Amino acid sequence: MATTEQNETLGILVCTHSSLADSLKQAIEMLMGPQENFETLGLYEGGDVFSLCEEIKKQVGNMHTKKNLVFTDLFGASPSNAAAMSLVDIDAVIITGVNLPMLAEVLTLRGQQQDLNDLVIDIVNKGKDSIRTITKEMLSKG
Amino acid sequence: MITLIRCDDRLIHGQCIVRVLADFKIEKIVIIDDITASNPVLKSVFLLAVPPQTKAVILTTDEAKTNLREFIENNEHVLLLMRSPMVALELFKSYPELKQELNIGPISYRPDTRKITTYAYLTSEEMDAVNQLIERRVRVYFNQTIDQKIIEWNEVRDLFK
Repeated sequence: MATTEQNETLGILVCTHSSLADSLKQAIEMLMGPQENFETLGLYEGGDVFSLCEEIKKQVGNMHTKKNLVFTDLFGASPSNAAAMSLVDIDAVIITGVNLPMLAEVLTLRGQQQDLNDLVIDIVNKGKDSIRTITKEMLSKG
Repeated sequence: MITLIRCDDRLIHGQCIVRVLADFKIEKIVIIDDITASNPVLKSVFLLAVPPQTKAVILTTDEAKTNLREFIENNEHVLLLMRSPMVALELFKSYPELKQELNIGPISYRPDTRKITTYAYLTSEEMDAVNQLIERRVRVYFNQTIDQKIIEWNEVRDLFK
């Protein structure tokens, strides 16, 4: 690892229960086209948190990216806990509660020179603000 | 009071938070796990994972063997959570007054395990511990969440001799 050239792009790993991460990647690529330095991982029945932690470290390591964001589906759940454990060995920030608008935001902004902390705040706000309700009353009549 | 004694090798995780804590109205989680109790990183990861309205403590097996009574006697609904039936066996031996029931939830695949259900894999040592619990008249059953099928160890143990 030490001799490998570091990639300046922000690495992105989505780690979830089951195949949600793969599906989120498919969905975001449907909107934004094929993406590089964008990996996915799923925890399946019979899987354990320590092996998942090792997988996270491996996937992030393989991207050779200096900085990374790990998106997980549910705070406190195994994908999130495994990602938290991996922070001892990898340079990453974890964002939980991943949704499609958050991924659209990071993929739009990651090419721009921006402070990582500011980017994280942007992504979190985007994720929260994207949750809306639509009711029948909002539809204009006629 | 101890509401549920459960083996789950992912300890606190999504299913535990979303279902088990609510289904059993758990107010306090007591994790009994030597690895987690003695590793500051793991300890903080699991304590961080606890929902804010729930209390949690992490004990070694030895600490649990001497300190469990306060959790048995208080009025809170307590979840005893451990990775392995071997730890459960030690607790049942130390505290005969525990409700004689052990719930086994998800225990992950390891190379030397046998698949008991889609979510629970046991080593021969773990199966021995379960059989010893049965001999002590502890009911051992496999169940992930209360609306899913229950598998009694007594009904399947002959398949794993």
